Amino acid sequence: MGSPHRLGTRRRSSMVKPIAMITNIDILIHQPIHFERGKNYCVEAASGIGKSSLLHFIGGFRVDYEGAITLDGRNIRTFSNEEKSALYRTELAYMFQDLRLFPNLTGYENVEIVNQQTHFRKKEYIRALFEQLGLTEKWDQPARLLSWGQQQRVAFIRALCQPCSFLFLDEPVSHLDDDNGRIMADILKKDQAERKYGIIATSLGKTLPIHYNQHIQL
Amino acid sequence: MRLIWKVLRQNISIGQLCGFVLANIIGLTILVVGLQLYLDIQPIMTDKAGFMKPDYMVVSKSVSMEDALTGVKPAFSPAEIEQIRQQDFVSKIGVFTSARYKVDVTLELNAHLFSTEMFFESVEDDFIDVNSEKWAFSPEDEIVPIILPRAYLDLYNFGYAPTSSFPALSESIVNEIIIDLDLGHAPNNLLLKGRVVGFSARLNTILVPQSFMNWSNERLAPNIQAEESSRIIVQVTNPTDKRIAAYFEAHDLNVEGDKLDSSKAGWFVRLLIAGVMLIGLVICVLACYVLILSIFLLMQRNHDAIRNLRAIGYTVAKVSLPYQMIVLLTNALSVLTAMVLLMGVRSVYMKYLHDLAPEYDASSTLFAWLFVIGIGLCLTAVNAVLIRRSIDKTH
Repeated sequence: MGSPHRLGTRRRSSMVKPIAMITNIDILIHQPIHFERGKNYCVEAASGIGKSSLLHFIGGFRVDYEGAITLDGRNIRTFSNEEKSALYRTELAYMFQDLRLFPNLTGYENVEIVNQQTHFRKKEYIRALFEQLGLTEKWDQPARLLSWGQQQRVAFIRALCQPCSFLFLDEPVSHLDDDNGRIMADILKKDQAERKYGIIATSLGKTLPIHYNQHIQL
Repeated sequence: MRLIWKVLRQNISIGQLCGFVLANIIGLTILVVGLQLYLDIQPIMTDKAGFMKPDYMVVSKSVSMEDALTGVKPAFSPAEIEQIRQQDFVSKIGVFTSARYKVDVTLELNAHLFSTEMFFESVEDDFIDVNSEKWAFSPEDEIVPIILPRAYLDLYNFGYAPTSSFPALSESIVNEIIIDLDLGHAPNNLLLKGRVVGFSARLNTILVPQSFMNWSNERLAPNIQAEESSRIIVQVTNPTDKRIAAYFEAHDLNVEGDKLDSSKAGWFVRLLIAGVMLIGLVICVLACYVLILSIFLLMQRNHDAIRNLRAIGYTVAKVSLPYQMIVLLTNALSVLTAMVLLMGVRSVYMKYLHDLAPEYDASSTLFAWLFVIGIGLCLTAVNAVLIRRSIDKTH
């Protein structure tokens, strides 16, 4: 995957025709959107409009839309399962809205199960993130015993422990207090400054406090 | 791998896996024991061990009511003999030659004179089961060697002698008795001496050497045309060949004694073993079907975990591996247990085979081992592919 990485949604025939949509008129995007590495995007919409769906479309998790989503010029639909696995390992890091933690793994194991694929982060770094986000006590606790807010922070750490060109954060602070939101934003800014990835975050109203290059309203 | 296993081992039903392993062990054991039994019995059936030898069968045509009334002698034409000779199961064929003259015999036993009219037949020496150096004739000889059916001696010793106050006779005593032969009609008759040189268990007729038969027929009945043979003797390569019974029955031919039984028994044994192996195979397939259903159920229960592993970059191969390992290990356990049970069952039935055929050398179990390992690998491979396909479809 060449640099700079570009994610784009393209119309297929005319300006009028939507370029990406869910058939039951949930999402309509009439103009091409280009996501560039190193920039931050905030996708905003009311609940149920399709913010999470859009993130799933971009990553190729769902294909029930019309139009085209391209990654470095290649349609995401053309990626094989193996190629998608490689994408999720090294290019596209997700913090899902439903978090997708493994309930029987501990807080640390939920992070390590991602990290062990690439050995991107050292254990000390992960432990430091747990400390910064107030999760020291949750290191050895199964995820099923954590509150939703605690699980959200573990999922955030997990996303940071993955090499990527784009980081997708689906309502990352929906269950966090402002202090934890700020800590998360600080960590993110510092990490992004080092790694230069693009951030695509969604917001239902409560937004992760970082600078956004573009707000996309659905 | 440890963490993936920790995620995916949830919801594994030990009971279901044990059920599969048990059923698979039973199926594989039946299958492999059936195969090994077949391999072990095969040398005996085809007589590498001396139990069922290449056998001789005396074949005759059925006598119909019409033949009996018209006096037509049911005989084999040269074409019919040639047709039998062409059969794959026939290795050699012998034709009986009958004496074309009258035979009267007289012998003295315990100061009693016995006299009777009888007949002679001859056949090539290769078909005769009596080894005697006296079994030869030349016109200069005064004694004609004769072979009697062993059944005749038994009939005399256990039937006639006890009820007639005659002593039982051993083979050696009978061999010493000189028989007066009056062959043909006076005045051209031949008076010769005869001596029993052996008893045949195979041929139920009174035999003289082929050389004597040719000489005496030429001498006593030069103008009488030789009749077609009414009986022939057939050497078959494998008496258990089911085609033998089928051929003789299809051509309405009679086989003396119970020689056809080994053909039918051999066919029946093979059929039985094939049936047992089929049952084993069905059990195996059903067991594997149960296993794959169990694995699919497990994957269904772990659907979210599988989907999440895929979403964080785990390949289909890596996610499939734990389930494939479960299949491999359970199949390996089944195969190993089946191999151990095979050795146990085999040690039991081999005693009976050795009793049946003491000279029998045990065949190798290597083929059965390779077979059961092959079956285990095939079942594992099929399951592995199905698991991979199922995980490939999980998004």
